[in-house]
Amino acid sequence: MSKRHLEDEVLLKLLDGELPQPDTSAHRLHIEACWTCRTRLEELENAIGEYVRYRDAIRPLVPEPPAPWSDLRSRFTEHDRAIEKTPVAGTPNRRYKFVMRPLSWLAAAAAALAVFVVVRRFESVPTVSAAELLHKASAVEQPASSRRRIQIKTRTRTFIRAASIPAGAVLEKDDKAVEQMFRKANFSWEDPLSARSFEAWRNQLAEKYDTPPVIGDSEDILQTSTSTGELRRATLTLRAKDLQPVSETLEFATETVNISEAPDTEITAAPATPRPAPASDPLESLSHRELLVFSALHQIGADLGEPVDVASDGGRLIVTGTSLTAARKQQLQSSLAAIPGVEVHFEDPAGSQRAGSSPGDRIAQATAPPQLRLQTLLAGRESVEDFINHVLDSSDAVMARAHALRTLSRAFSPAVENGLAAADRDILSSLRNGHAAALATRLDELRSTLKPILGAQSPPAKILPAINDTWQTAAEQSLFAAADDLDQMLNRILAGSKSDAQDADFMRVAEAVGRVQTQLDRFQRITGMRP
Amino acid sequence: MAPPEITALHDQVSRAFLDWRDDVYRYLLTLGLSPPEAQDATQEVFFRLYVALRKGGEEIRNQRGWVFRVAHNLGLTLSVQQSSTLPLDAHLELTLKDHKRSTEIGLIEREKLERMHGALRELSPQQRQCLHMRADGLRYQEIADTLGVSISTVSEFLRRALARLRKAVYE
Repeated sequence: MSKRHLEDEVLLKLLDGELPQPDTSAHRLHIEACWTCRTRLEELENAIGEYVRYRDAIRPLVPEPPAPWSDLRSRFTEHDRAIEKTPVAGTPNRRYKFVMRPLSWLAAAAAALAVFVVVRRFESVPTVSAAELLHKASAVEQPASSRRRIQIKTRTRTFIRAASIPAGAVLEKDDKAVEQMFRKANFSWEDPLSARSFEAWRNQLAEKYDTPPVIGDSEDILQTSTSTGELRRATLTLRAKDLQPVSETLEFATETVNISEAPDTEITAAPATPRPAPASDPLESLSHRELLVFSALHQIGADLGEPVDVASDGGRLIVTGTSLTAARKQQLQSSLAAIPGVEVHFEDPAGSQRAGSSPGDRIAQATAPPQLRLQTLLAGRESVEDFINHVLDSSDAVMARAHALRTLSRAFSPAVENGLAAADRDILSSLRNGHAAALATRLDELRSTLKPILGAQSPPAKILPAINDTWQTAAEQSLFAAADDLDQMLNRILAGSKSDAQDADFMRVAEAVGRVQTQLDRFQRITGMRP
Repeated sequence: MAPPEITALHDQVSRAFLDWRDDVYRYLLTLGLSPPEAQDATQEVFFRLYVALRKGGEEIRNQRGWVFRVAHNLGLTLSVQQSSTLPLDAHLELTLKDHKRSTEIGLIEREKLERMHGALRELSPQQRQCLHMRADGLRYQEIADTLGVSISTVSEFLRRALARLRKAVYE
């Protein structure tokens, strides 16, 4: 018998039948002989058993589907008919195009079933005490003090105003549009962050669906949905100790409005400031803290291709800066000092000190090729060397943003993002959208620098479908790849030691620029930055 | 009248829908979709299975694995877009605490369930998804395909998850 004990991973694979047969036999022999491994195997089996029992026990508590399952056969038949009607010749993929648009289908189905489904939902979901809790909160609600302020955040703007304003108060033009939405939905614009206003709106709904309230240690959450009217879903968070509303999310048909308490003294609109992480949930707090680290790095511009790496190890976050100057190290340390559980390390590999190379000397490092065609196209407006340096610098700037987006997409997968608190998601979107907007600007600059060689041959960006993908995949797989491809091509064509670029090369550059633009447009549609 | 092979395909996918829809629906709930969204998405997944099989371009060796992969991707997209949904976790926690509603669970068991529930909440989303899919009978390769990770990552997720659960229940 081998004296080495089997690792838990091997034991688990053995239980799950995931090991190759020869290994399985050998390990089984070991387990027969080794009491320690056999005990650990049993513990593992017990843990699996406990999990399965847990699943079985909670099964009756998991909400049932709100409506009867539909008979898919009619949809299959409908699909068959649609195929038969489509001419076989031409583009075969077009026939299935609608399949790639789940949301439009869901919307259509939801519209068709609206009344029926809503009634069913109402019957099948227990209305624990949403109405009671709301009523209680309304009863104890204090009139808003004149100092109480709220922050109202829409897709395009954030502003702070008094929590309660008199009817007919004079508003700025932008606020009026928001007010209109509230009025149409019969939701109080005068006092929106209020249990009474929420209750008044809820009571006048012809049909509604209350999610069972979440009763927490510090906060209680109420949520009401309806399929009719301007306001589709409203979520109100109450402070547990006195049931005062602290935040609210109102999902209108065309816009989502977030309302939260603002400090009494704060009177100007400001970007969301990250709050310290709650210590209760280590996992949530890890993602939250990681976000704070990214946010802090962003503020000092250290997320744009500098050798600064963020990694997590257990509950700790480790930020490693490589070959940074003393001043930069100091800056990095002080910007991260306030975030708990962050370790900052610096590495200075011997001989790799950054040799203060100015961006302008990149071409001098290679033996400059003649670039005769380029010289002709530039027609004396700029030296070939200056032109190439400008182009490569602009491409670097595009790459830095694409890189930053990819880093964000890796650190915050859709699942992690989904687990973030609403305020944290806002910070993440603002970091992400900031990089995307900067990338757009840099790409414009690059295109303008390239004008002498691209002329009018820049192909228009194609429109790719934005649905059915996450921004993370778009950043990781498409946008970064397109930017990287362009950057490498520019380096090869303009700075390669053997190249003497010709028109065909410039045409390829134009196409590569077009591909970055296409991917950027798609990314911005996925993130809602453009329609 | 549809040709027999088409009718057979209708039967095949309808049967798969009947057999697997509850698992897919519950899996989508764990991704954060609300019950109506999870139900709609489940139906959409099986419809897509039909479309893919009907088209025939894509070889689908393992339909159950395929269904979970499509459900996972659709679920993540929808849950990101509809991020204010009350998560299933919170709903279950509330229900577990609500003694009137969980009378079907024995008093002694409840404490254990709550510990298990707490430990599950501390797992990473991927660890939870791995456990869920494994308990639904998916093999490591299928889970890896669904999550877009390697088989060794799946086994590591499962190992860590079970180690935590064991600790929560027995220590």
